[in-house]
Amino acid sequence: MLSLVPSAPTSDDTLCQALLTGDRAAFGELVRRHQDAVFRLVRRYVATPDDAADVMQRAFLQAFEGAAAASRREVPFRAWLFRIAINVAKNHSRDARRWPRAPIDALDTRASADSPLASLEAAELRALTRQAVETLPPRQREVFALRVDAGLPFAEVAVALDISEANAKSHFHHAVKRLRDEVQRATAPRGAQ
Amino acid sequence: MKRDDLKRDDVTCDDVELALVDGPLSPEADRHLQSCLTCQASAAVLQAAELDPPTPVERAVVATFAGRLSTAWRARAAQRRVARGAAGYGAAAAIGALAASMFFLFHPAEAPVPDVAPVAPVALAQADVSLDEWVSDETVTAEDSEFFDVSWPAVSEGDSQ
Repeated sequence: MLSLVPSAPTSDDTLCQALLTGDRAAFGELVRRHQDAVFRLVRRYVATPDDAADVMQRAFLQAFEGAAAASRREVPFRAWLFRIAINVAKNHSRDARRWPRAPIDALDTRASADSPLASLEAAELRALTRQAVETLPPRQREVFALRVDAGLPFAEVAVALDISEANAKSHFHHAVKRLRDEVQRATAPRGAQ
Repeated sequence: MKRDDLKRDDVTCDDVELALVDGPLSPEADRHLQSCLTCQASAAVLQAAELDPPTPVERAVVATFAGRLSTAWRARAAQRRVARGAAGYGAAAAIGALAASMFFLFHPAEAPVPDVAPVAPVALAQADVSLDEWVSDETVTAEDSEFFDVSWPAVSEGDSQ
């Protein structure tokens, strides 16, 4: 008998339990739900798409293997996954000694209605800002990446990093202020620096 | 930050900063942004910090990721099965060794006969009756029977009458 009431989506924890018993459908659903956000998160820490796939794979595998322990500690799977993903990404970045992309690589090649000068200035601003993100203190960078890149609300950022929501917002505020100051310093006229 | 909280006119820079990443601002927050240079700088920085949209190569990586991950997960599961099997054999061997040690603990083998020099037999005291004479029926004579005869008491002996 068909139900006219759409059933609530299966929770991540339920899917994890099924995954650990070999349920391949649960495996596929968990990956489908979270792979885009994890990819957006790790993109900032890696240099190539292959590196992103490698980091994502390690993060998911570790998250699946530790899912039972996370459940016992009442940590939601999503937060658990992102906690692992950011640690794996940080380690990768440190090990690879990744350098910021050269400004030329970050130039936006899309057609713009702005003048060429405005487009160049926008591209340089993007390169400058992204470089400044990579020099943020570790915790500020983590909060920034989870909030801006992965799109997690502050409540989930807090759970993923095992900090309070207020602390997460504070880190975000300081990160934005630091970026603002860095860009202002870099773009100020030479006499004003 | 809930969207309803930004409908107040007393929206602060912190409120706007936290809401900038969520997308379109409320009218109140937008009014504040239009009049605040600090918030405009924050908005510019957050927009500039966003990474470019995924390239076709990156989109392909994401599209094929689930299959790659599934292969890696199956490989790890196979490795775990092998490791469990090896651990099982090791445990069985350890239990067998323990059982064997317990068996020999409670069922020790016969102590080896010490290698000592034979002791010279000591002369025994002469027996009153020769053993050969004792067991041989042929040599029992009437005189001997007296020695062996056991006098049973009479039936009435001992009765107090």
